[in-house]
Amino acid sequence: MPGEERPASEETRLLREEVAAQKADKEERDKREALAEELKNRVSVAAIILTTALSFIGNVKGDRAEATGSARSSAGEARRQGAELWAYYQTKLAERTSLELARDRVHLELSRRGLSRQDPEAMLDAFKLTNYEERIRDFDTESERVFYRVQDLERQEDVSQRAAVEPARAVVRYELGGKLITLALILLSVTILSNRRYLLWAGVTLGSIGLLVALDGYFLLL
Amino acid sequence: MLKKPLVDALVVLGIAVNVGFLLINISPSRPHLGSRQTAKILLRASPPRIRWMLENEFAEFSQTNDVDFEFVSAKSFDEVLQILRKEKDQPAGLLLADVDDEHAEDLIRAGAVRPIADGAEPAELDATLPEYIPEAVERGRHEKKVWFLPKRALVDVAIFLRPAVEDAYLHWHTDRPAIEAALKEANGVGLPAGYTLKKTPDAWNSFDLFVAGWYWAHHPAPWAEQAAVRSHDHPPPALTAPRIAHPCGDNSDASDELINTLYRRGATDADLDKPDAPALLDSLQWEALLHKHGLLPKECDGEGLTSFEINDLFKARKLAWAPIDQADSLWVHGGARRDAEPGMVGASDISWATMPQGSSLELSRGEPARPGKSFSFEEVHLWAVPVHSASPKLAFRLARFLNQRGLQQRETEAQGMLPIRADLRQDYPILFRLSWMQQMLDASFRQLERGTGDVPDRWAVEGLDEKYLKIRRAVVYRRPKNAPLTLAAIRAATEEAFRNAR
Repeated sequence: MPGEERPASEETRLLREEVAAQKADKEERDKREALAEELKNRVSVAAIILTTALSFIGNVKGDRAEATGSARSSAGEARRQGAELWAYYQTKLAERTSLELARDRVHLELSRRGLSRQDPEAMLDAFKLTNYEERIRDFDTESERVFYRVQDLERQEDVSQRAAVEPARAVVRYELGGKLITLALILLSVTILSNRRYLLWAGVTLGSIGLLVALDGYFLLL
Repeated sequence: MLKKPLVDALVVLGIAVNVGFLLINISPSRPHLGSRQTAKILLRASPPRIRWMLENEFAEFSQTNDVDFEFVSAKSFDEVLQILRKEKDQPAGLLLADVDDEHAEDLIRAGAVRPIADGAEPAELDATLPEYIPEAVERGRHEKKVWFLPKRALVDVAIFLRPAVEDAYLHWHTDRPAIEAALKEANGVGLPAGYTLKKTPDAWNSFDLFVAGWYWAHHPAPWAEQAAVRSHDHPPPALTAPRIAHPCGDNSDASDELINTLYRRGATDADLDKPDAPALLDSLQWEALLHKHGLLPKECDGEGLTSFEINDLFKARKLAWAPIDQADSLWVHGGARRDAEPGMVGASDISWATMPQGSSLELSRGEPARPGKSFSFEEVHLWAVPVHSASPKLAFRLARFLNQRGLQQRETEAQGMLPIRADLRQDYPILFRLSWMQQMLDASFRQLERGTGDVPDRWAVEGLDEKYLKIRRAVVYRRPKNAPLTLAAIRAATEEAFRNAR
């Protein structure tokens, strides 16, 4: 109605209510922002810790992988050298066999003629026989040395293969730990985007498991 | 309120973990967390063999598992049994022991050992057992439980000098009349119809061994002692001496050989302790004949000879034929590794064969009345866990480590044995490359195919081993040398010896 006016107290009340609502909204917004800030901080701290750990794990995994590779390549090298020497040994053995055959032929010839090697008639045969026997003896000494070297190389191969086992076990654990930490870092990134607190804890938990798995790469307890 | 300290703690922990990883980067190999422990191992082995095992087998395990080893050495498996019994009452910290299958049941009955399977997860055990040959695993089983893990096996074969066999093969005919006469005195006939000495000891029977032994014992042997000395060192003249030997006297080697002889002559478990068992009479008759004609070393008349003494004689080229196991073969020949003890001079003259067929001296229609067979008991050595062993798990792990392929191959080459690993038995012609080593293993595996078994428990448990040695001494070595050697005479002497032995 014209001329009718709201009472001043009513207007004031409405104004006050609006101001109060705005104040409450602000407080709510501030609180949300503070929580988001806090979440960001925590994510950052967790991410820094996990990233640093990931970097160290990467280094140590590299070292262990190198140790495994070195042991395996040492085993491979020993195997290769052993095979080469073994082929040489076989050649020597074949030469020795031909000498044995020659010696046996002289023996058979002497037997056929009814002579012993002491007989003056068999001087040349005896001379040849002695020569063959000496060469067979030399072959034996030489091939024995080669054979022992082959055995040393086989032992080296065997020991190197065993030496590769432990670092290889470590590598597996460091690798798994690293993967878990990477997954945790992804979860932490999503935490910031989605502003979900539970994702922070999920990331921290996964990261912690990753750290434990990686630590077992060192201790090899499991 | 609680949140902040929790977060702070997590941050501190995270930093600590990172510092930890930083330190790991400085020294990335696995840390040795626990203090080193000491483990005692009981081995039936000589000090040089123990030293070899320590350097080549135990050292690697010691380094990776933080264990220092101490060894207790026993001379025989009887001594091992005594030590383990004592260990049961007064534990001295034995972790693992080397026992043989013959004493395995005694040890279980005495409560001196515990099942080795206690130290392994079922899956681990299931993965381990197929690595070994089934017969060896069976020797370690008792009432379906795995009490022992196989360690190695041994079987007696014949070792001989090739030039000696060649000599006998070419010239034995010169002694044929004397040999026939000696045999006729015992069996009324002489040699079997159409007899000729077989070319290889692998095909020999008791007659061949007698014929070769006779020839060797009656002629100077240029391949014997003389060949052990280089020509520029003025070797002795060729000597005439008995050239075949087997353990004799009252020692345990002699009783082992005696039961082998009985089974070669066809004895079964049921024949034991029977004075009229043909296998026993045949064995005693042959041995009496060998003794009468001086074909065995004179020591058999007195103190006797152990395997070790026989090996010594063989190594000095004083013998031409003897039974021997794989470990002793390597000692006589010289091992197949750089660090092995050197062996006999002219070791390339050595060869191996299966044991001769134990035929009877008695003939029937020109052939041995009882042909016998080639036979040799297989001895399996086992890893046992003493009942108070501090760590059965460590004991199992150690036994498995020592039995792995590479180590067992090296031990076979350096110390001699029959491998108990299935892969080594299958691949031995490829893996053991020295021809003499292959010959030895060939003869050993052929022996297992031709005849082998497990020594009957009664032999030791009922004291038959000692009783039979006494009987042999009475019948073979205590009777006058001119006493009759017919089967009837031997039977009468044996019956009397049995009566006296009761």
